[in-house]
Amino acid sequence: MFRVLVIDDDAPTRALLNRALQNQGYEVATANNGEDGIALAMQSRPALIICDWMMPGLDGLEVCRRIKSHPELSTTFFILLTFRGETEDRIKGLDTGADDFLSKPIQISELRARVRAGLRLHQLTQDLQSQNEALETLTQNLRSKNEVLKDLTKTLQSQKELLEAEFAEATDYVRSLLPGPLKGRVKINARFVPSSELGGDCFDYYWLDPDYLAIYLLDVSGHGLGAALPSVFVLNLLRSQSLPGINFYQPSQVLRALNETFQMTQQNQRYFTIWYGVYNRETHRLVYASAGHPPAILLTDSSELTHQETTDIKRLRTPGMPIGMLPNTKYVDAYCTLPDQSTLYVFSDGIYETLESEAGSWGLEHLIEILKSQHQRNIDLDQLVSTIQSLNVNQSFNDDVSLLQISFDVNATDS
Amino acid sequence: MAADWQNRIYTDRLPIDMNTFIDWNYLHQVAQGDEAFALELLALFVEDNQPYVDRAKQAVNEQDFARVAQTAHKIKGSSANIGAATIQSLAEDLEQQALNEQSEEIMSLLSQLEDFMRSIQSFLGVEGIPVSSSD
Repeated sequence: MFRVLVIDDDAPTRALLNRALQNQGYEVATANNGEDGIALAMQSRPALIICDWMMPGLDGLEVCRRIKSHPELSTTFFILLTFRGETEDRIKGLDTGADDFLSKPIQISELRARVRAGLRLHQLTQDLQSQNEALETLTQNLRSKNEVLKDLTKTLQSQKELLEAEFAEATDYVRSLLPGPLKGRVKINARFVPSSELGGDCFDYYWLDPDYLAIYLLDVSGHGLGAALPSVFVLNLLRSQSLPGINFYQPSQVLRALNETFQMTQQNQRYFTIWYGVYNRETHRLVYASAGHPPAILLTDSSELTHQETTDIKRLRTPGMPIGMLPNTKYVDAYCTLPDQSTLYVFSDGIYETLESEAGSWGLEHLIEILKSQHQRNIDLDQLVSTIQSLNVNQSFNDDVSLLQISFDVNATDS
Repeated sequence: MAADWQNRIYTDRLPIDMNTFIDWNYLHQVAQGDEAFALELLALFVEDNQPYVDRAKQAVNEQDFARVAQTAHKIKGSSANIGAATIQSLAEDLEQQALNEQSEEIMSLLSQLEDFMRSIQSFLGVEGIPVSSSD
């Protein structure tokens, strides 16, 4: 119910306004002077005030000015009672903050209409004010949430930077363990392109004795330090030859020993694929074995035999489960003689995984095609990697890319 | 309905013609058709304004014409709001004469006002409404 306050020094006017407004269903309070009126307004917070202009003591204008300057009463709709035709006064009233005027002699229908309109405006103002307050609260909430988000983003950013720095450090460490290029009759170039998270690739090659060269490349499943650490561990294990009773000249034996050492249950559900080969530089014979690893690709230039620019391709792999998947897995050795001027490529699947999206071409076959064309044109390893990278729509590898290029040249002198 | 009411209240026992003296249509309008309330408003009017007539007289004696004008304005508004048309026009004259500081005219108007107030009192007495003439 709307509260209406009537302030008038004239008793019959108060009485008739009181009656007319009560009949409209409003809660009416009356005061017979300005000061009492203001006190009553403070106390009852009316929605609307009807106040006579000419009163002894505080006149209507002064009452209006005081009401309108009070923050909690400023939205109260203020109607000044004036004599009909006193237009000059009305301007003064409006300047003081009066919202409407009612003329004497009072017409009840006009009174009702003006009060209704005033209350409607008051209600709208109130609604607007409360909506405004709600909006303000909402804005405040959003602002503080935004602050929290900003802090969170900052924290995440610094954690990301920390993580990236750690990955970079780990990558540098893995890279430092990898061997440098080999020169002479057996020439080896290697490239290691780690993915942003480290992929678990590792490789090594070294002479077991002056005649026998061991070459291997492995790829631990998964990504991150969890993949890189076992990979480095295997590298150290093989390099220090600390698998007891194992003949490192026999790839199948090495793989079996690794498989027994690396069962998945002990290795946190990790397994790895590996290609392991041993080359004899006197006999040019290669013995190799693989465990779930992509084949090594042997390219031999056969133009001398056929008088045509053709390249003979061999895929060197043996059957066998990845290391660490199943105990008692059997691995077998295979043999191959490496012709002069041939090139052997050993790599992890990271290099051709990105090529698999090429329409109509399986990644490995596509890679072999690329290797073949590069072989005929004698292009170096960096060009090869950048060619493959350029075919990849993402322009970066999702997985580690490791690639060994082993060339055999009987006429070269060993260094 | 207004016409019925007007006729019923009218009585020729009164010295002044109440029919022209009060704007019954207007009073009926502001009383919202409530006859008892209309008479109550008249009673309130006399009760509230009688002292102002006395105060105006005193002010004339003190040559305080501003106060006379203020009083006249108050009576003017009050009479307008209850439809006391004759009193309203007397009060308007009074306000004007006060500004002109015409003592004799003012005293004459004030005694006329008193007569009319008394007429209303008598009228209300006939209607059974007691009106006190003092504040």
